[in-house]
Amino acid sequence: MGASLNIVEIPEAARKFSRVCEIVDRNERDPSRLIPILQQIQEEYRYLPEEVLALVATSLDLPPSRVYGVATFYSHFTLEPKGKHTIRLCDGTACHVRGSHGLLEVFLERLGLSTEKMSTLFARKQCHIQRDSFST
Amino acid sequence: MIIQNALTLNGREVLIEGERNLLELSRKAGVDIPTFCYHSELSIYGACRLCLVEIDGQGIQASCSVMPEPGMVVQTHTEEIREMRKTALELILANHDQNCPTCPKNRSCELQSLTRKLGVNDVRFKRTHEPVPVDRSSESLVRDANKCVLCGDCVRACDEIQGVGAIDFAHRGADSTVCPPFGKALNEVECVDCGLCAAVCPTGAITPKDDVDQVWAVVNDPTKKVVVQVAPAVRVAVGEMFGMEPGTVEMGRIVAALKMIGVDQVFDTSFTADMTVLEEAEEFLDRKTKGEKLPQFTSCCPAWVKFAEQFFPKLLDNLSSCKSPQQMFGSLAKSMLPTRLGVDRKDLIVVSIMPCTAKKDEAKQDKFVKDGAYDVDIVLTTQELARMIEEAGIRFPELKLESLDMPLGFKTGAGVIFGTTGGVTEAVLRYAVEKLKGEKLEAVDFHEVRGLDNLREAELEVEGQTIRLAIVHGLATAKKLAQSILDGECEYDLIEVMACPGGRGGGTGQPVSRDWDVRAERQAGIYKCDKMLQLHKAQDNHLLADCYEREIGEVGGHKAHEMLHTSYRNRRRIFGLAMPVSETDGDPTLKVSVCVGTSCFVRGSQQLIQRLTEFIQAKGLDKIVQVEATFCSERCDRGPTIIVGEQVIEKCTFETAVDVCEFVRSRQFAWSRAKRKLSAIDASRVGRAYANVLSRRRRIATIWRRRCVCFNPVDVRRAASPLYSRACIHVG
Repeated sequence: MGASLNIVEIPEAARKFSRVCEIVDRNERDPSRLIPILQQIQEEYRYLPEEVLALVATSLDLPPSRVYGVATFYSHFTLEPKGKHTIRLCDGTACHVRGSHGLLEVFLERLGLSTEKMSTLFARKQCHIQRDSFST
Repeated sequence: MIIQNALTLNGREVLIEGERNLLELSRKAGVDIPTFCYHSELSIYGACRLCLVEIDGQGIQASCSVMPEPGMVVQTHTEEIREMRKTALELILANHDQNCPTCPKNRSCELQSLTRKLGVNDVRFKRTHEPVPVDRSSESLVRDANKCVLCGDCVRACDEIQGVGAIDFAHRGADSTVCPPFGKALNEVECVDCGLCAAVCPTGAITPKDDVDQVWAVVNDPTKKVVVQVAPAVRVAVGEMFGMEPGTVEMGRIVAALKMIGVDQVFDTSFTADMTVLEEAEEFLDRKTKGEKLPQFTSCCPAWVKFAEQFFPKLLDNLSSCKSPQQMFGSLAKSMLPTRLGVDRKDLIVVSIMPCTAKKDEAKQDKFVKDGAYDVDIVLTTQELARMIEEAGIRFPELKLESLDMPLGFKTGAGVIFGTTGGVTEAVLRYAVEKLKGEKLEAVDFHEVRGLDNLREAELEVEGQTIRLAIVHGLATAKKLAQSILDGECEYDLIEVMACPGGRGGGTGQPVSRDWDVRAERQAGIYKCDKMLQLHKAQDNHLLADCYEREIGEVGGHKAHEMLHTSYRNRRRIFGLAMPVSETDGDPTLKVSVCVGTSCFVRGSQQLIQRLTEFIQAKGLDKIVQVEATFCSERCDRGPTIIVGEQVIEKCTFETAVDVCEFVRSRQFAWSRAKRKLSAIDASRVGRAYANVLSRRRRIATIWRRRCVCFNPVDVRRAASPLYSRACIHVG
């Protein structure tokens, strides 16, 4: 299991409504291309805002619950804003026994966060930490 | 020697006769393979893994997804399979709310019954899930995710049979759950309250809302008079809850039981169903003569009406303007009964017993409130009625029969057949054909419209006119039909739509049954009831004619329209989502919301947003104007719709949008100065002085109103509420 730290500037300028429409049109408004559409939107926005998902559902003539189901099923998709800079810290067995947890604590201390807040997203310009599970 | 087209099941030969899987074949052979997620009317899913069987040469397979083949050797209960089923159940039970005695599905729960049947005596696994709150937002249904076994029946029913898809699976693995999108509550999404999800749910995860306590409260209140209306479909189903055969007509015992419980009068919804026939048939004949607004859709099914308001705004003019029989009854009862029963209108409580969960939501709509009270106060389903009877300790099968009260208990067969699919059409035909022919109609049975198929069509020739009919049940079929009508691919004159499969007989409020053949038996009971009555045509109901003469006047006349007809509106499909399209720093003073719901989207709201955004950027206004995309301003047939500040503009073009923006912007500048003055005043006065402030604000609001501009500072609206109004500019 690994841990990631995101040092964040929540993107102000990221919400481009017309981009969503472009992406959907480029994929020919085909409901079977839902996953590629979501991938492209996530690349653009860095996450999948709820309103955008509802708009995608409307334009593809799919029920919003289906789009939400797909977006929450795949771990690649995220519905919460991700930060601009990602620090990925491996917590696999080897790294763990060599002290990755201590490194994590140093990061948290330097950035002024406590462990309890690790999975909460703050207002702009603060840290977003999320647990990412992958092994090295 | 292998007999052609047979296989061996548990050592016995069984013929294969076109069953779609091993599960149905074994049921035919008298072996009940346990299953959660299999349902004969839904697609095959294979999620629950309880229906495992062992097939020689193929190992262990899910019998719901295996086609029977000649020569197969199948075992349904080897030791290994029995262990697997028990373990699966234990795992489900570990995270299940095991409080059976207080669950509404107690004794009709599939999980409960399988646990007993499969001999699960102990749950060896500990609970890992935290309980989640129950969703009680809807008027009709209660959603409890703690009881969900993730079979997916509700998802497939909502999607495949009703074409709505309000709920679906979300997340994955141990976090999987069935929920509306974005964590919203059920009444914030496009659920039409039909309750089919609750009808197919094997556990108590989705159940109809329970309003029995409300009825007990009014029955025990000496100041209130309680009258009950009983729907046609209820009388052929309530007996099932007491071990009687489906389809036996138990109206006499229902009356006796209700009177024993303590209600004052028991009437029959079929009386107002007869009334609906008169109103709707007259409306139909009028439309047919003028050739306008055809096809006419029936409007007595509230789930269908909500569906049409959400998905087919273009067809709202085609819906019959008649209220449903339940609502007509409420309106009529509240108007004529208070004097007869010697009570104030506010102390008269109308309770209806319905086979339907959507009626609960229908009764609570704002448009059915008169003089501060709902026309129909409480709606109970057949199941709730049975529970009330049990709670009172009444032994239903032993009751002596009693009669309905008059005059609202008198009906003809036409009103009774509303209780099944095709009934409304047949009842309307019994009126319309007699009127067109100009002579008494003797042959009152119209077999062409009877049956249980979910789309039936018929054509009748009457006096040189062709009447083309369609009868539909299940909203997905209705959706297809409505779409082909909009595309001009087919033409009908009258279309009956029922959301529940089988019409009202199969409604969610009816006694739980996993076997859908029971609908056929209930339907047969309804037609039998019709035959046993002496009168079969709504126009022969002389007590109804009396009622019209004394209370309402002409059929379709002015008072009839006031009391018995209604109107429809556009409904948004999802609440609370708005997407800022431009970025602003600080507080933008002008907000422009552009609707991107389906109808407006199709009419070009996307291009409108793009052009507006470019315009605002070009003029350097992006610091003070914020554009956002919202879902559904509920003016679907008059889109694209934008809201600038507080002004709503329909059929908006780019030029109009710019004009209004500039107009409002210039007024807002003056207003923000006035606002600053007002807040200074507000801060320094209290009590009596507030009245002065109010009058000052009223004056300001009046000035603004005369200039056709209204603003949203909440305090002004509150203070000047009688004067507040939205300015709507209609363009084009």
